[in-house]
This record gives sequence, structure tokens and C-alpha cells, in this order.
Amino acid sequence: MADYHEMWESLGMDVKAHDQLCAVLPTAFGDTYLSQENRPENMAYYDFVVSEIHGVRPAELIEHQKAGGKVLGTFCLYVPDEIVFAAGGIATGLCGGSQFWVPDGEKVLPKNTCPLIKASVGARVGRTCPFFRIADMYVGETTCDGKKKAWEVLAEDVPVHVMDMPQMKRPQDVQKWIGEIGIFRDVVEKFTGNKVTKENLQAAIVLLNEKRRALARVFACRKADPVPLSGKDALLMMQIAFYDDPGRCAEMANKLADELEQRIRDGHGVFAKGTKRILVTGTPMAIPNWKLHHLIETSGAVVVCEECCTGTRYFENLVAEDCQTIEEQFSALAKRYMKNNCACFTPNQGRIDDILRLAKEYKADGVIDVNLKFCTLYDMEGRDVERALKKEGIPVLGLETDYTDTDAEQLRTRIGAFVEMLG
Amino acid sequence: MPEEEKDYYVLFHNHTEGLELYQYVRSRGISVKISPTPRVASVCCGMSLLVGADAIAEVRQCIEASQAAYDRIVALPRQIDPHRDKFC
Repeated sequence: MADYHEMWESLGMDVKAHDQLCAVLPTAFGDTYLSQENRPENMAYYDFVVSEIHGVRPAELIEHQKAGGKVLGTFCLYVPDEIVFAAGGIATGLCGGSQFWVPDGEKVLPKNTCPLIKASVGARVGRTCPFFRIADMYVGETTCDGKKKAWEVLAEDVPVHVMDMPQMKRPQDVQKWIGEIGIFRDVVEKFTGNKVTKENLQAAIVLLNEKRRALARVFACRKADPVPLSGKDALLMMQIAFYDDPGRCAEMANKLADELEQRIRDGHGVFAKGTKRILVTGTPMAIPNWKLHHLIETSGAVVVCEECCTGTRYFENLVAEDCQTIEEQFSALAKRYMKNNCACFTPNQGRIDDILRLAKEYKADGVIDVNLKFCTLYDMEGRDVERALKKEGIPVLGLETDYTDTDAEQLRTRIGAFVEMLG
Repeated sequence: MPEEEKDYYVLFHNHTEGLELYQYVRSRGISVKISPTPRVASVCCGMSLLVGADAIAEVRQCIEASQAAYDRIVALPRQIDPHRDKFC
């Protein structure tokens, strides 16, 4: 058996505590993923990544560091990975999606903080995740009050750079974001010792656009009926995309898309034709948060799309590849990233428009608007989401949850009733 | 324990061995899955191959024919329950 204990110890991890996570992950993954029938062959890659989740990729990142490279940990879609890769660094997603990390987060944060923030901070302060140990620098952003204060806690233990997000989408806000990307470039250059040039930035833009195109191909296949891929599997692909090597991510997503497109030609699905189709919108679902999708897909419905950070927002909109100067490239980056419609913006009509558009594109029978507990932004925006969907005659169910198991049965009952209501 | 309620996990010394056997077995159309190794099978993390009782004989033949490297094969009562609702 692969034994990563030496690597984890060298990272200063609390190996004994981490072992508790290693003990429960195989069961949760088996119940959620390996219980599925008729999965695409190319999901084997993602099963492999989870099986070696704290081994193979961390070892690659450490090799990069040994060769003099830097690893920057990010927590949000607004942070332009292109800058990091252009400077010869590696950007890796760090969001925590497990209840396992929450108690450690609660030691330094108020309990009424969202589980994503508590788990992310807990993974660092509890020393129970190799990715959080490996990252040389964390890149935060000001998307919500909880995160803003969390960076201050984390900065006591690890270098943190915070990008100051605009809160509106006026032309001057896009200009401000260009300035923030410039500041980030300066920080990254100093940290890595490498200059960001027009040429290496162009290569990084193309690299990450290819990743976006590949993920978009997989999602496009989910519009078919019967749907050739479960929502759980699509979610897993997205979660892994946040920390996998971007070139490999694109390659594996394209292989999966090839298979799915063949399945569509063959009329081959993972759920029977006519299975009720759900669009999930709301707060992100960081790995290994598979709860909602599992409950939906064991309640007679299939998730066909996610309008959230671990869904379409991650790959929709490309960065322009035809820029002539580095200034144009920065402008193109800012324009692309500012098209993301996070609830941190006011107003945020763009997200409502996205939900309505995606519900139609993916032929959703209903929408589930999920909110992680204590996420005020998405919670408050739920009213507008519900109103807009009802106006269009699209059934909607609003749910609030966290990473614990305790509400699973209650959620299953509500989801089951919602699916039944869809007819 | 009735055979149909059992699953088999093929354990490896490293993931390179595991992927090699996975590809060999799949190329012969035998149904196996890549799985995190259950704690009851080993305290070390990493991939294993999950094999149903109906396919284990064929997988053993593959191992013999390919001289594949592996650690051991562990038989366990079925570990998977989609309605357990225990997440991590």
C-alpha cells in the first residue's frame, strides 16, 4: 500500500488526527460514488485521484517546490490563476468541504461562520491537510465578511495576499480589478522571482482556456436526455479541477467528453430517459462535499447542472487570446473574471439571468437553491432567485445545510417531496 | 458469509502497480472499480481495486497471466451502502 506518512510528517502535519479523515473517506466515497451503476469508463481517473487524494498531487507539488517553484493556494474563482502559472508557479484550490475540519476552525472562528470558511481555516490550523501545508502563500479575496477576517487569522501562520474585490460591476469597478490584478502580479513576481511577460501570460491564458473548454464540453453533454453522466460525477470532476494540473485536467475532461458524446449518440444514459432534472444553484461545494448531490440522486432525480463556483462559473467565459500587449491581457483577464456573478456583488441580476438561462439550456424540471449555513449573501439572494423562477413557472426548492450528517434524512424527505411534486 | 454479499479488494504496494493491473483487467472487459482502500483492509491510504464476487476468479487469472505485482487480496462483507448517509 502507498504509505504517505513520511511525506505528511515532513509537512508538519498532525498525522494522527489526519488519520481519522483517512479512515472515513473510503466509506463515504464508496457509498456515494462506487454505488453508482453504469458510470463512464473515464470516471476511473477521478476515482483514482480521490483514492490518492492526499498523496499523488501533494507529491507533485512538493517536487515542484524542490525544483525551486512556488505553490499558491487560492479560495475563490476571482483569483486569476493565469498570473501564477505565467510566473512559473502552481495555483491550487484550497477550499475545505469536510465536517472533519470544522471543529478546528471553530477554535479560532465564531461558530456562526459558514462551514466552508471554518473547514478551510481548520484544515490549516489543525495541520490535517497536505495542500494547506504545502502552499507557500495563500491568496485571499474580499468576497465576504467571514473570509476577510479569516485571512487575518491565517496570516498569523502563513503568508497571505488579499485581493480587494469590487462590490459592483460598473466600468470603474472593472478598472479597479485591473489594478488589483496588477498588484497581484507584482506580489507573485517578487514571491516567485519570475517576471510575468506577454509571452508567458499568453501561454497561461491559453492553458487555462483549454481547461475551461474541456469542462464546458462535459457540461454540454449533460443537456442530453437520457443524461450520460451523473451530477455527482460532474461535481467530482469540477472539484478536482480546482487542484489538478490544468493541462492534465483538460486532457482527462476531454477524454470524458469524448465518451459522453458517444454515449449520447448511442442513446446511453446513467439515468432513465425522463428522469426529473434538477439545476442546483447557490453556495460552492468544495471537495469532499457530496451530500446534496447524493441525496438528490438517490431520491429519484438527477442533477444536470450547477450554477455556482463549483459549476458553470468556473469555466464559462474565456479570456481573450488575441491581445497585442500585456496591458490588453490584463484588461482581458479583468473583464473575464468580472463576468462571474457571485452574490458578493450588488446588484446581481446577472446571476438571476444565468439561472434562468441555464434552467432552459439544461431542460431543468426544477431548481434547488442551496445555501451553506451562515452565508448571508446567498441566503438573502435566495428571495430574488425564488421570485424570478416562480415568475418563469420553474419550481424551486430552497435548502439550507452544512457539512454534518445530521440533517440528511430531513433533506432527503424534502427533496423527495419536491421531486414527487415535479410530476 | 454468502459469496454474493462479499466484495474483494486488491491491494498494492503503490499506485503504479494498481493502475497497471486496472488497465490490464479492463482491457479484457472485466468489471472492476478503482477504490480508496477501506480502513478495515489496511491502515495505509491509497488506491485498491474493488472486485465483485462474480469477477474475482477472472481477476486472479489476470494477475497470474500478467504476473502483475500486488500486495494482497482481501475479502470483505459489502462495504458500500448508498443509504447510509454518512458523509465526511
